[in-house]
Order: sequence, then structure tokens, then C-alpha cells
Amino acid sequence: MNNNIPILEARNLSKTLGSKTIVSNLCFKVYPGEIYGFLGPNGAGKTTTIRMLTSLIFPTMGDVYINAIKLKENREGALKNIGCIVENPELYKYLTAMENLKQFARLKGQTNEDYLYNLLVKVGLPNTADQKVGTFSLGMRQRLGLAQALIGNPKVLILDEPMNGLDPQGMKDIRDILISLAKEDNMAVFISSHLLHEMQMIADRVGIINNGKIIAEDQVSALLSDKTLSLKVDEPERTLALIVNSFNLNGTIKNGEIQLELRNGIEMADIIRLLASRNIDIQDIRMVDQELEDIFFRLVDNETSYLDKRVEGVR
Amino acid sequence: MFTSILHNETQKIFKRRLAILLLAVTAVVIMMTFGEFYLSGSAHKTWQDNVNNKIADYQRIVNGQAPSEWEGKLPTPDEAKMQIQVLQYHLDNNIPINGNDAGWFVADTINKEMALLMVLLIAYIAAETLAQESGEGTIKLLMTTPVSRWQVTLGKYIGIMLTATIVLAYTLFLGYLADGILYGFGSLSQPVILSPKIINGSIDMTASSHMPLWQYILSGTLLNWLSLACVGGLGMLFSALLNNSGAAIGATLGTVIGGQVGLGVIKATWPNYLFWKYLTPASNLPIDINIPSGTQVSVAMAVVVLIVWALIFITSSMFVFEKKDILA
Repeated sequence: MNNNIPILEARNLSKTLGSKTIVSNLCFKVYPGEIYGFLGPNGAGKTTTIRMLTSLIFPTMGDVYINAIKLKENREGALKNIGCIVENPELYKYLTAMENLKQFARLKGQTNEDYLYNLLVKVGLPNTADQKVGTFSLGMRQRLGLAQALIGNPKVLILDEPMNGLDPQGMKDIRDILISLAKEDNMAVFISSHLLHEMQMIADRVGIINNGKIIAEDQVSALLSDKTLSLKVDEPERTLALIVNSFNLNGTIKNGEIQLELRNGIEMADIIRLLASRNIDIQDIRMVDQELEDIFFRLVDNETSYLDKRVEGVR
Repeated sequence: MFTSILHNETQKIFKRRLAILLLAVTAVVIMMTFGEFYLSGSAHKTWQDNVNNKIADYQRIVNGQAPSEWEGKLPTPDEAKMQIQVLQYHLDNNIPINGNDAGWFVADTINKEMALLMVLLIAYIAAETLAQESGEGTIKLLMTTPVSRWQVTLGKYIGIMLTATIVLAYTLFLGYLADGILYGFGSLSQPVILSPKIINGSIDMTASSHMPLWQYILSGTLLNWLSLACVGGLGMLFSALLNNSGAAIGATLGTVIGGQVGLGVIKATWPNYLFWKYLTPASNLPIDINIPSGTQVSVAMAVVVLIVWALIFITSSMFVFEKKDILA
């Protein structure tokens, strides 16, 4: 498989319900072997997008291509290439784990019981084949949902919040499985989540969606390469104004400390030299590691107020 | 691929509903047979007793002595005279009507009195199917698999009709067995006289057609099966339209019962083209001599109307579900 040809692509994807535009003109490409994190606050349009990718709802405009097959024109042919979890993996509670897997396996033309049993082992659910799913915890259902998505070794995994309800060990297990699927089996993994820390650990690239639009898309490493300097001085407001005027940098004041984004080749030493020349005492100065979360909030906050998003429970 | 869908859908409905349906009809059949047997004590009436009672009733109508509480659907004295002739013919030739034995129990009680219960049960499970999967969210994973939506809808419908067939067959068998143990099995080949012919104002029995009892039972069952196919389709349609199984069940049962009640009071002929008229078709069979000839339903008409409505319902539910945004 050529890793330069996208396996999953959205072209100008839009969805309008009534007069409300949920998603507008969404474009992205996901390549084989790549983990693509799809991030956004609640109500940004993540689930609507995932439903369009999986043909649960029909786009008002635009197209989805899976393995270069247009979803609109050949729904079954395109869906053959994907495995999904959409929101919570709601499975048939009155059937056992194996019966559930067989339900989906039949529809995907894969009914070998040993194969299905191995999938259960792979997701960490051995010895549960004959247990009714009604007795499963949310974490176990997530694992079974993943096993279901893996049936038939699809080219693309589309996962909506697959880490929900998992304990730390469960998250690590799923993380390891997803990384090995992408890196060893060359599977493309499209994963929506609001667990930003998790995404930072597994995603190769992320797209950030807000109000139905992609507001940023880049390699995680590139997003994190921005350097932030934290600086503590007596008069932070005046000092910040001085630095901003001298070097044309962006900065904010958080908890009485100046947070500066360093760029254009400006280093910590330049700042120290400037402050020393003006006789400003430096109480503390250090480089701060960027987190995906910081970038996410900065981007989303540019559009809407920080508090709204906090209330929505992004964190 | 369609066989896989069918396999899945029958597994789901069997696991979920078959046992409870069989239990429900078992309880009803047991009450109708054993319950009645013990309540009536030793005073089991023969079919001749019943016929003689009816003849006496009709005689009172002929004589103009009918009690006032009979008013309403009373036959005219001329019709009553014909009924007496028919009944007397059965007595004279020892041809039972509404006998006590198992064959007659199935023909009368199971096929006629239990028909509405069956209709409601099947309407219920049909209304559940899609709406329940929407309500519980399982429809999402199901519809991301590479199968077409109309095939899933059709698969669910066939699953429902398989369930209906099993429940219907089981009820006939259980009723036959239970009644046979209590009252004897009798003969399934005894003749049933159909549509007594009226020639020059009197009944010519030799011109009337007849069929063996087993055939009479099977025709009633076939008609009931068709009415189940019809309400099954109606349930599927509401199930495809609504995302909540409670709402779908309410809408389906409301439509079935409301339509029957509403159309019952209309005297025009257009309701003859609506499915409600035939939902308990066996009880309207022309062979029931208690029904005055004017309101008799043609079997062919019932078959055609039920099939047409079943097709309308199932194709519309496939169409509705095909176009629907799954927002569950």
C-alpha cells in the first residue's frame, strides 16, 4: 500500500440540520500507518463528522472517500475498508461476547471462531467469550467494541472516544494496541477524543475542530515545537509591554508570571540581556514544555471564550 | 450476504422475544382449555345442545318474541328461518358445528378468538425492532457494517414473520393437544358446510360446498398469518420512523386498535379496502352461519387486501430507513 495516498479523505464535508450548520467545509486526509487525532470541544461537530464518515448520516454537501471509493456512490464497497466505534460501543446486552462478535463477523464475511477468539485475547478479554455483554463494565465494552472494529483487519479504524470509561491500565493497553496496529499493520487510525494527554502520546497528526471547522491541523511534533518562556518579575505588565515592543513576540500573564512564545530565532539569552540593560530584576526564568492541551486551549480560545469550553468539560 | 443478515436478525429476535411470546400464548391456551373445563364441571354441552339452543333463539325471532336486549344486529324473521333450516340440516345429518372436540376448538377458539391477541403481540415485536436498536444505540454499529439498509430492514421483517409463524403453529398445536386431552380429538376430516346456497327462498344444502375440518382450520390460519404479515409491516414502518421503541409500539397498537374501533361503526363500503377490516379474518369467514349473508367477507378479497397493505408497509419502511439520518 502506498503510504502517500490517503486512505480516508473528507472533501468539503458539510452538514446542516434545519437552519443550523453543524459541520462546514471540512477537509482532511488520513494516510496508511498514521494515527490521526481528531480533537475538539463538545458540540464542535466531532461526532457528526464521524457519522458522516461511516455513512450513518448523509452529508448536506461534500464527499467522503475511503480507500479511494466514494462513500456516496458505493456505500458497501467503501464500508468494507473500515472498522468503527461510534460513541459508546453499544452492543447487544442479551447476547454473549462471542455472539456479539459473530453478529458483526457474519456481516463482514469473517466467521472463523478461532480468529474471533484471538481478537478477544488481543483486546484483553480472554475467557469472556460466553459471558453476556449485559454484565460487562464500560471498560470491557470498550474493549469488545474495539475487537468488533478489528474484525476483518480493516484498512481504516474510525474510533469515537475509545478511551472512555477505561482505567489507566486499560488506556495503556488500548494505546499499545492502536500504536502497534498503525506501525506494524500499517492501519490508518482516525481517533476522536478529548483526552488531550492521551492524544499527545499516540497521535502522529491532529486536526482541531471548533464550531464545525478545522482550525488547525499539523504534526503533533510541529505543534509542540513552539517554545514558551516563563518569567517572574516585579512589574509583569510593564515588563511584558517592553518585551513585546522590543521583539514583536506574543505573551500573556498567568498567575503573575509572564508566558512568552519564543520565535523568530529569539532565545532566552536575548530576553535576559534586554531586562538586564533596563535594570529589571529577574526572580525566576525557565523554559516550559508545551502540552497539546495548551495549544488546544489557545486555538479554541481564540474563537470562543475559555470559560464556555471549560464548562463544556473539555478537560 | 442476505443469509448472514437473516441469521443475525432471527438470532436477535429469538433470543430476545420468542420465549416470552410462547409463554404468553401457553398461558392463554391453558386458561381457555383447562380453565373452562374445570369451571363448567360435569355440565359439558354437546354440539347438539348448542345447536338446539340456537334454534330456540331463532324461533323466538321468527315468532316476534325476541327479548328487547337482543336488539341491534338482529336477523330478520326470514333470515332466522334460513338459519333454523341450516342448523336443523346439521342435526338431521349428524354434521357437527362448533363441536367440543380438539379440531373445532382450534377452528373456533384459536383461529377466531385468539386472532386479535396474535395481531397485538406481533404488532408489538415488529414495532420494537428498529426503534429499539435506535434507542439502545446498537443500530450505529450495525449500520457501519458493509450491508445495505434495505436488506437489514427486510431481514428484520422476515425474522418477525418467522417468529409469528412459530408462535402461530405452536398455538395451534398446543390448543389441539390440550383440548384433545380434555374433550377428545375427534376427526379432522369431518365435513364443514360452507356458504349455504339459497335457492327460491329456501336453502338447498346439496348445492352448498363443503370442506374437511382440517382444511377449514388451515384456511383460517392462513388468513390470520396474512393479517400478521400486515401488522408486522405496519409495526416496521413506525419502527423505522420513530427512534424510540415505546413511541413506535404506542403508535402501532394505537393504529391497529383505533382503526378497528373507528371503522366498526362505518356502514360504507370503502373500509372494505382497508386492512383493519381483515385483521381477525377467520372470525369473518363466510362459513360462519351465525353471520347474516350481507356482512360476509369474501376470502379472496381479504387475501388481496392484506397482501397489498403488507407490501405497502414493508416497502415504505425500507424506503424510510434507507433515507434516514441515524442520530441515535
